[in-house]
Amino acid sequence: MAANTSEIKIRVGFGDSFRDLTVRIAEGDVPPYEPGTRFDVIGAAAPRLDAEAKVTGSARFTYDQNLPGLLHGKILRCPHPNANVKSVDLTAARAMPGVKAAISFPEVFRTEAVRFAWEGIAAVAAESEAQAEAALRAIAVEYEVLPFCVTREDAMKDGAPQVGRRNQQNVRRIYPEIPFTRDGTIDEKKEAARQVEMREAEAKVDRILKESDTVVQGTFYTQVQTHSPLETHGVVCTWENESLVCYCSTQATFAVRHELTHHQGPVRATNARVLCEYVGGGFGAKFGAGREGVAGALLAKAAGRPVKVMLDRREEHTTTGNRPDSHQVLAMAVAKTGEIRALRARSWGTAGTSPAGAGAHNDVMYELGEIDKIEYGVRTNANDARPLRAPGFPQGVFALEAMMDIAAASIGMDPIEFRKKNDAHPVRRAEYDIACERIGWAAKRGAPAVPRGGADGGRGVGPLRRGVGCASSLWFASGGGGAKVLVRVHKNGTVEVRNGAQDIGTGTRTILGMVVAEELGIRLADVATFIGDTNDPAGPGSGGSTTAPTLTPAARVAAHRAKRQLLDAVARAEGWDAGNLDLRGGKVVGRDGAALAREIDFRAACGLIAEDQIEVLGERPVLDKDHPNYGGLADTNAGVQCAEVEVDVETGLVRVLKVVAVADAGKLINPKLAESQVRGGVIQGVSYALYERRIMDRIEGRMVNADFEFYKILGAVDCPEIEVVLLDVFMGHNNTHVMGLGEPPVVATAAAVANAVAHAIGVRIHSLPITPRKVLAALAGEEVRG
Amino acid sequence: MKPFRMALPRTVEEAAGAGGESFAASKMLAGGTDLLAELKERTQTPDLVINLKRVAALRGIAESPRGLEIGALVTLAEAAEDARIAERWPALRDTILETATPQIRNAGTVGGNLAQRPRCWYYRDESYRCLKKGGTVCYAQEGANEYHAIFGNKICAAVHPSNLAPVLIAHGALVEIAGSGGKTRTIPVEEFFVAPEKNVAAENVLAPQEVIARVILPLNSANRHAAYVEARERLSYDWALCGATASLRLEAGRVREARIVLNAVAPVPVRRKDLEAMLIGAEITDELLERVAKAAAAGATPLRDNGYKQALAGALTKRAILAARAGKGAG
Ligand SMILES: Cc1cc2nc3c(=O)[nH]c(=O)nc-3n(C[C@H](O)[C@H](O)[C@H](O)COP(=O)(O)OP(=O)(O)OC[C@H]3O[C@@H](n4cnc5c(N)ncnc54)[C@H](O)[C@@H]3O)c2cc1C
Ligand code: SF4
Repeated sequence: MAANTSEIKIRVGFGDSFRDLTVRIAEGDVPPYEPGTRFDVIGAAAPRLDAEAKVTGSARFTYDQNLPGLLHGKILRCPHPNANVKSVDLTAARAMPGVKAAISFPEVFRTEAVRFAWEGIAAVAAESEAQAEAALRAIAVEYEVLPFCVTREDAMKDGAPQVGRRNQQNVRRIYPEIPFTRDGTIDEKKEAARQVEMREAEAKVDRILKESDTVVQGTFYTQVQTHSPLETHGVVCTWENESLVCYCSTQATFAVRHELTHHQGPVRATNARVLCEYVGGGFGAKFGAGREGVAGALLAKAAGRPVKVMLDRREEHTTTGNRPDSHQVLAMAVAKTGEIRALRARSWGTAGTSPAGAGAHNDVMYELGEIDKIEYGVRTNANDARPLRAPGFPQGVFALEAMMDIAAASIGMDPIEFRKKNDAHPVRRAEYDIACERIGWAAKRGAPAVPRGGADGGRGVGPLRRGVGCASSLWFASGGGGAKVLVRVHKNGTVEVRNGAQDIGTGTRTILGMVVAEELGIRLADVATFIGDTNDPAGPGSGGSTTAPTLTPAARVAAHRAKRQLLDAVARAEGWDAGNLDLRGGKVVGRDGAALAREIDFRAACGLIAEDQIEVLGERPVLDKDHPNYGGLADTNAGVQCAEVEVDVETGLVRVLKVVAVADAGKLINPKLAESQVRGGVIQGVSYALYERRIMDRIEGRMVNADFEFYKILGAVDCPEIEVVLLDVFMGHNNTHVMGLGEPPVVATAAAVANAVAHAIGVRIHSLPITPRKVLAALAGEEVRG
Repeated sequence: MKPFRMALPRTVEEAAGAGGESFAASKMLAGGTDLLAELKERTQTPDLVINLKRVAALRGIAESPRGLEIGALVTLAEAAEDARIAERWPALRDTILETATPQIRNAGTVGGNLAQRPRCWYYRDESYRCLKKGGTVCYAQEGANEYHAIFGNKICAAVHPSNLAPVLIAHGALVEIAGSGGKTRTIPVEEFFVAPEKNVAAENVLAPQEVIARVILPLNSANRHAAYVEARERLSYDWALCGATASLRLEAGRVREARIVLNAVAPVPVRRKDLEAMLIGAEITDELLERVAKAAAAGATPLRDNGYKQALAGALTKRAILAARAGKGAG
């Protein structure tokens, strides 16, 4: 059901190009900011409000919650990648010194199946960590150990051990999706129709490939990446009667609350308060309480004391999710003139024990003509995937952007010209030129590859070769409903903003304050922002880059209504017309911003409030459930990145010298925070391109690099110079024009780095991460797969 | 971590005697950057930890007629900052600065660096009971072996992780070892390490009650044309994929003496007398360098995923020789 709406005219655009657009906005919404508006707070590069707390260490993370009487919880884990638990005997553990509670996971989670190594089996809480650890060793577990496969290749072999139970196959088509009926069986009729469509697409693309001027092909591999947040998963739980208080390192406070209070869940708290003022990184892995969270809650209840359960690094790497790997086989038909006519994509990925979520988005961004795409999810006895910053994108875009370069080369066209030819996005088209100019594309791309000694313009010296590469990105997030922001304007002039969602480092706390301060005509420092407490109004999980576009419009509505109420009070007291009043620069001013006959500052105005405070709960305006936002300049935001690399052809070492990241995310509330998001994305992208990967031992089926020693993450010395260029776009979609920026900056980086490496050394490495081993193999005419 | 007792001896003799009859169940502790990780993972479960930190005789760097004597408890950072080392044995300083992180160099010691245990991920994981830990298989042979040894890898393929060892060997350094009852022995660092064929459970000749007292750089090894180079995957701290040290004495453009040592490619640092022989008496030409580089992989028996180290061995040997020649040296 569509809410009541009204039609208004808005202006969208960026730079010096704007146009009018007629949209319908929901009742109670305010029109979006107008281009040309003079902002006082929005657009200022204000430091994040919690910068000092984080830098000085006074910020208290979940890990830092040391409640009086705290017990330490630890989890016993199964070393077998595939097994059924026959029995768990906690008797001896319960009798160990210091032990206050013990629980068995098969009982709590009602499953005996263990389908990846280091899955939890039981947990204990004890007075000290050492006592808890000792108690774990006293737990007797009987397993039925089953054969397993931990890599995609192994799981796809004929006769491979079955990962799932019952009739679950290791390999399942995930796109086009298999239609299932309610009882979980395949809807054969719908599936038959889908098969017909798939065959038709295949035939169509076959025809185009056959008739095309040029066809290029490529096979690509990407690795499993773990989230690796600095703060591991975990909780500190304490009960007051049936009421649970749970400090949780999470990116979705309300989802955790829901999980812990669900009437069918293992905890079933009558009431729960989830607290998370600071999170040491989430990246998509922290949307729930998790088994460790449930264990913390149940142990605390059983012991009648607070319990802390924080995972160690191995547990973090092996049980809290990851980005699936991929094997992608692509073919592209291109016309001599540069238009892409068709794309064929077949891909396989493993998301652990479930096939879902293993897709690679390799058919996005460009006008790709006819598309024939089939994807398979492959079950393995390895930890399940969870969304990881732009799920499916870095891997898909790595393959797609490699194909773009290969295709451009095949018709002798510059890679960026080729992209522009096939890209209709108004913002991205502008971004190519900026990125090109900042990286020095024309000169560097044209320079001869082989060193001519010294600094004579060649791309290398001695064994070093340089190259530049480009890749693009897109994202979709304009936010949605379900969020409320509370604004209180107190009689003494203080302003309070509350929302129960968390700030995973993106700056949510700061931008909420900024939107409210802007609306009320005061400074950011005059607003106190409270987040990360489910006793405050509902907020979204920080996923899909939706937090800012979901919360800022709600904050703006709340602040706007609080402002009107405040101005009503002023008008009443002064006998003025409230309709002619506004707030700006800490004062009551006229609608046009002009000074009034009698100066009333913000504090004095607040003194005129009849009650103790004005309190407004502003709801995120939505048009309807499925289409919460109105139209805008474009449906997606864009992004272009160019990388320059240097490769040592004797040692295979790749160094990324520079990344230019041109990014947009609608209206920039705070460019400093936006820039920080982009930098973080680039850093994580370079790390994914060159270093990070999960390495599985196939003999016993466990991850051998579940640490930060051989699970390598980019360090300071490896960090390239990063030049961020942000475009401020009046996008439309919602009343702040804000789109999400958490995920998009990581989409293009690895692809740009890989393309630059190919340019530098003249051979392409089809597999991530690009390690010295792979570079040396490629230069020797071999290839390391997977 | 298994609970243990800790002894705090004040003298080398006390340290060597602290384990008493049950010395087999004891471990020496210096900076702890390596041992603590093992204790936490339970790859070592000693009953007694002998903390060396109060043994003053193990500290300090001093010159003696034997050479520059570096106490076993000298931290990597102290050694790198020592003016005598920087001036006369710069390759040693260079390899230390490639080692680990500043934090670890501040705590880790020279003795601990030589006696540190391999980083083989099977060895470091309690859940794999491999040959080195008294089990029956070397998982690296068929398992994940990208970082493992390409030489001498038939029994155990763990590479020796020390960055200091190859450079010390190239300089002909000695190590003084103190045993119980005040007995000491001094042996070349080269002979300190033992291959898995001799003893798969240990990487060196130390008996459990023995203490590394000091490392001695002979004075005649000073001011050589010497250099250490390594390749790795990541520039911020990382283990070498392969390292090469060259120490040369040059006379009238010809190589008079040479030592070539490769590290991170075998269970012990590998002195390459075959490559040294190719250099001695010769002029360093591009052609010779190419031949030496090619020969560097001779005898390698790569496993499934580490063949690339052969190319690295060649490239780095060449680079080490070139860097050594270019470096300062009094002949
Ligand atoms: C993240 C990381 C990265 C690293 N990177 C590198 C690298 O790139 N290159 C490199 O060479 N090293 C590297 N190291 C290893 C580091 O150099 C060693 O851990 C350190 O030098 C060990 O010294 P320690 O004093 O801390 O030894 P401890 O941990 O105290 O002891 C190590 C071992 O030596 C024994 N031991 C110590 N002192 C004596 C003694 N005097 N007599 C007899 N036995 C003794 C102990 O019993 C123990 O088995 C790295 C370590 C870490 C943690
Ligand atoms: S290489 Fe050595 S340490 Fe590693 S698994 Fe084999 S025997 Fe054990």
